[in-house]
Amino acid sequence: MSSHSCPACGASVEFRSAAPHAVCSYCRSMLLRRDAKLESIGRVAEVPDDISPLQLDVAGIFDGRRFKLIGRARKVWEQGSWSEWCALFSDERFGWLSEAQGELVMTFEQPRDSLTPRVTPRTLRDASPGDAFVVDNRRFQVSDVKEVEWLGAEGELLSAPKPGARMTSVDLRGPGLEFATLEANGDEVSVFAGRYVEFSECRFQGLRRLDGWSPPDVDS
Amino acid sequence: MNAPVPTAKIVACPSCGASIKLRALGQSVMVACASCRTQLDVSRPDIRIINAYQKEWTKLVLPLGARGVIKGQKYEVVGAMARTVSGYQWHEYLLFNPYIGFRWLTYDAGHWNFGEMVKDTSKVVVSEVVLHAGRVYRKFQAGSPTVSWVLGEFYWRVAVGDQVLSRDYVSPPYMLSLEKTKGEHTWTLLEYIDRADIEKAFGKDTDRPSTVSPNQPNPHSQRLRAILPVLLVALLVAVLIQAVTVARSKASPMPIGTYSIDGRKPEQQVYGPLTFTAPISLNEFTAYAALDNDWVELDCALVNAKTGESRNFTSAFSFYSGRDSDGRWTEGDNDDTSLIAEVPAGTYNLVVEGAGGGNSNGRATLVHLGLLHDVAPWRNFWLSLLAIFTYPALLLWRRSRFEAERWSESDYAPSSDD
Repeated sequence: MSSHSCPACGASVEFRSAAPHAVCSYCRSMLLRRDAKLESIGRVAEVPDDISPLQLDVAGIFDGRRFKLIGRARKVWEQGSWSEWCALFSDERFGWLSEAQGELVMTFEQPRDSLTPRVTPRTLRDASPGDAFVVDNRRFQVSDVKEVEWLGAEGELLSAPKPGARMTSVDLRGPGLEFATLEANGDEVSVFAGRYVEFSECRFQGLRRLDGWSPPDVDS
Repeated sequence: MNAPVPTAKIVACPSCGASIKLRALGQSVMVACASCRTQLDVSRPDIRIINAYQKEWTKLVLPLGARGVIKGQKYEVVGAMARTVSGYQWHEYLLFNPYIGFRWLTYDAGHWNFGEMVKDTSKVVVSEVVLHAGRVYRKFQAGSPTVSWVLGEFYWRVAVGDQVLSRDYVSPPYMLSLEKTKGEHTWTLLEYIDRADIEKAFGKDTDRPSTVSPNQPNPHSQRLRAILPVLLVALLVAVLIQAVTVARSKASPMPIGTYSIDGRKPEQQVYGPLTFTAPISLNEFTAYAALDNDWVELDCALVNAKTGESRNFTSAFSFYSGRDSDGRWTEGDNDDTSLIAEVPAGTYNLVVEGAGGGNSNGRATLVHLGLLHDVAPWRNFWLSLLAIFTYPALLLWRRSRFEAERWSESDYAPSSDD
């Protein structure tokens, strides 16, 4: 863990990971680590209220490896919004746990050349449901294409868009429970692949207590 | 630990000002106001109107906010919509549990189904039938239902008039439902839920269904399965009792002989002494004669040599044959069997006095007599089998009637399918 002070307001900002971005919890500045220095690249809104049982610092297990939720982005498109949690694994790898429509999906960034056919942010926009892609030798089909922007963020993050920027995000369904996302990121397209996860398989710890509900494995 | 987070957020409807309770905030993207029925976008903090007032309406069976335990998990009703296909309407209630996500409860003419989206569609194999999780689903109906009205929260933007292509496959108590929209295929696995479970879960009375639903479990199959162990035990007991009875019966032939009916007056003939060794026995008397358009009637008495107690019985048979315009005909038998039950052990004499055509037509008729001491009784066994199988047979009949009623509603009735 490393401690810094926010260049915008002076409040202390702590990094638990090597993630390049963090949101100052006092002034909502989006901070970027460059070498040893912190730089504010703009402000982000607070993540709006929701009734998710997840929160920062929740610990869990995925495929036998421990992770902790260190940041979150709330993304929005024309017809809805969802949360993407930045998960820091015990081996310093990062994953994204997306929480949408009551379902959880864990994905990991893949090398760009694992994707065929290759796409650019411009051609990605022309993708439509049913289109086929191969990620790491597995066949995926486009399920939806969205123009996405960030609604709010908190904690530490692997990436952060320019405030107000919109980007193309394409979800794909693969064999079985596999899932992938292609996301325009500047001049490149980032590839994320993973699968659906069951809430219970993550054996979450440090969950938010929700009034009137109890976690599935605890008797009410 | 922090205080629990309140799980509902109250917002004001931008259209009518009424309070709207948001129960799946962050997971849902739209809500239809319960007061003015305006559809609102709740995916952002600034709530926006999607669609104005909806005209059509039917009463909700489960109110928004109702909580109930279904299949061991607690859910809250967060949304409701009605779908219509060719004038026929049903309700779909969206359930939410923040730790589990969304589930469905469909209500159709008194029938309830609990639904969950099938995430791993690679395990759904579609051909003439659909295979999923070791079950075979038969296609039942296809249609294109339209959303008639919508209320409460949903995780996608439901709009009145939204139409999908649907296909339902059944394997009671399950149904697999495929919904096709542009580019997207969604499979939902539905399980029939007994009305009593819904009433218990939500603490309210519901209407009794008057029809058979596509995936309603056949109650007669269930009853058959329930009585099967009893049936098998009863059958086993009956067979065992009969096997023991047969094994223990001696069926020993008694020396009797023949009785002759000739032109003379009927006369008594005594056969014996016969020794009956079994304490209480069933005995089989047979009489046989090669009759040619003739009849025989034997008045018999089994008389206890010691007590003089007599068991009387009659053995009569006749056999006629001839030829007419239809060809050769016959009527009757050449033999007859009588059973003499509950005969105590002892020494007996069989007294026979016979009459027949031979008395008048002058032809002598030789009747061969036989007596088997201590034979196994079969009548009770057959009666017990009848008793054992009557109820299952009734259930089998009812079961097939129920299935016929189910499939009469199908687009793919078995008769046109096979």
